[in-house]
Amino acid sequence: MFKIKERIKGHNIAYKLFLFMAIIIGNSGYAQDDKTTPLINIWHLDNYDMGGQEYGPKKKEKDDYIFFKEDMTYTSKSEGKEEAGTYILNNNGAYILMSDKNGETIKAYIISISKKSLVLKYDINEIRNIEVHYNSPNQTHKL
Amino acid sequence: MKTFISILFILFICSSSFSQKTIDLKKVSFEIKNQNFYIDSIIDNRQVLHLGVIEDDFNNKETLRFENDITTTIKHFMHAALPKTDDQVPVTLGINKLTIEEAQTSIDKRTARVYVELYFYAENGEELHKVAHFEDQVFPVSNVTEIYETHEQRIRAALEYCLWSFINTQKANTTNSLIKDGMPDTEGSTQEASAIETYVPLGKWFNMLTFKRMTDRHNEGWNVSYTGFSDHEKDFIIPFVIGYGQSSAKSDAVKERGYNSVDSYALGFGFNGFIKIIPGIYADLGLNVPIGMEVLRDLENKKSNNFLIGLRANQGVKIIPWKDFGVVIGAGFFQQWQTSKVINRNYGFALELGINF
Repeated sequence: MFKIKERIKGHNIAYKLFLFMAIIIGNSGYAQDDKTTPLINIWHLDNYDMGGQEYGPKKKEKDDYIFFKEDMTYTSKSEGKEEAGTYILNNNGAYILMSDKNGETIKAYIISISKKSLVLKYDINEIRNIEVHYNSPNQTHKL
Repeated sequence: MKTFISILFILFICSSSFSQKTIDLKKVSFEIKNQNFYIDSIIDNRQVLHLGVIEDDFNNKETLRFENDITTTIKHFMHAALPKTDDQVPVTLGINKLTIEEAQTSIDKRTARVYVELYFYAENGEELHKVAHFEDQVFPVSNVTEIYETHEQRIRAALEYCLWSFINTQKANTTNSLIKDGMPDTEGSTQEASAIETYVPLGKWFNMLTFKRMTDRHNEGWNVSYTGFSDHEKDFIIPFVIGYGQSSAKSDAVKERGYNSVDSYALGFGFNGFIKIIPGIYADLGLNVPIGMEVLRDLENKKSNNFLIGLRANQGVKIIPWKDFGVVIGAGFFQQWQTSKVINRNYGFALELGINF
C-alpha cells in the first residue's frame, strides 16, 4: 500500500515536473530562434473563412503549403507556383513578413497558432477580411 | 470681471490639458535570444517631441505622448528583448523620429501607422546601422477605438522590426561582426546595406459634395456628386465618386440626321483621377473608353441598333483652398469620339461648385 502511494506520489512529481517543463517550453515559443516555435513547420492550406463561412481551396490550390524553416527562410506553393524567400516573425506585431527572391514582401497577421493549426490574415486589400486556415497533418514531422 | 477672466483662463488651461493623451508600451513576453549585443543607452534626437496628433470621435485634436519619457520607455522594451549579460557588446540607440499617424485612406478603410527612424552606434560612437520603417495597419473606417488602443502595439512592432533589421544586416555583412576582441568589427561595414526610407506623411482624406453644370455642342446637363479621396503629394490620386446627373438635347441634331429618337446605353472603362499641382490645386484628368449600344428610331419609327465604342478624355482643375472645411471650385473640358450614327464627335466644358468637409 505504501509502495503504491509512493509510486503515485512519484508520478505526481514527474507529472508536475513535466507540466512545468511544458509551460517553460510553451512560453519560450516567443523567441524567434527557439526550436520550439510552433511556426516552424509545413503548413498545408486547409480552407478559407469569410465572415464565418468556410470555403475549401480551389482545385489548383489543393497542394498549396508554406514551409517555415528554422533558418528564417521559407518555401511555399501558391496555386501550384513554387516560391522561396526569407521571413521575419514579428512577435509584437503578431505577423510574419515574407520577402521573396524578387524583394516583394507580404505581411500576414497571425490570428491563431497551435501545433496543429495556423490561421493567417494577409495584409492584401482584396483578401484582408479572409482568414486563411492551414493545418499541419504530420505532427511528428522533423524539420 | 477679473474673476470671470480668471475662470475663463483656468477653463482654457483645463481644456487644453485634455487635448493630450499618454500611451505606454505593454510589457509582453518577448526576448530575442542568442545575440551578442544589448542596448546600453538611448539618445533622443527627435525634432518633434510628441508622438503625433490624432483626432478623436468629435474631430478634436489630441497630442500623443509616452507616459514616461521616451528614453525610459524604449530602454525598458529593449532590455526585455535583449537582456544584458557580461559577454555582450553595448550598443547605443539613437531615435531620430517616432511618429504615430492615422487617416482615412479609402472610402471604407482607415490606416494607422507608426514611422520610426533609428540609428545604432557602437561604444566608440561609430554608426553601425540605420533603419527607417513604416508599421502600417488597415482597419474598417469605424474602428476608431481599436485603432487608438493598438498604437502602442504598432510602436512595439516597429521597434522589433528595427532590431531584426540590425541583427539581419549584421549577419549578412559579417559573421559575428559586432565582436572582434570585444570591439565592434568595422571591416565588414554595415552602412552600405543601411537605407533610410523617406518619410511621407499619410494624406488627409477629403470629402466633397459638388454640383456640376455641363454644356457641349448638342446637350446641356447637370450632375450632383460625392467625391472622396486620400490626398497624396506625388502619386496619381484615384478618387471614390458617386453621383447623379441628367442631360437634355439643346439642338435638333437627331432630327437633322434623319432620326426621330436615339437612346444610348454605355459603360465606361478607363481611369479618372487627380494630380496635386500645389497644395489646394489639383489637375483633374480622365481617359475612358465607353462601350455600349445605340438604339435609333428613324422618322418612320423604324428601329435599328448600332454598336458604340469610343474614346473620351477630360482635363480640368479643382481648387480646394481650405483643407478642413470650405468651398470647392472646378472647371474642365472634355472631348469625345464614338461610333454613333448621330453625334460621333463632341466636346464641351463643365463648371463645378461645392463644399469640402
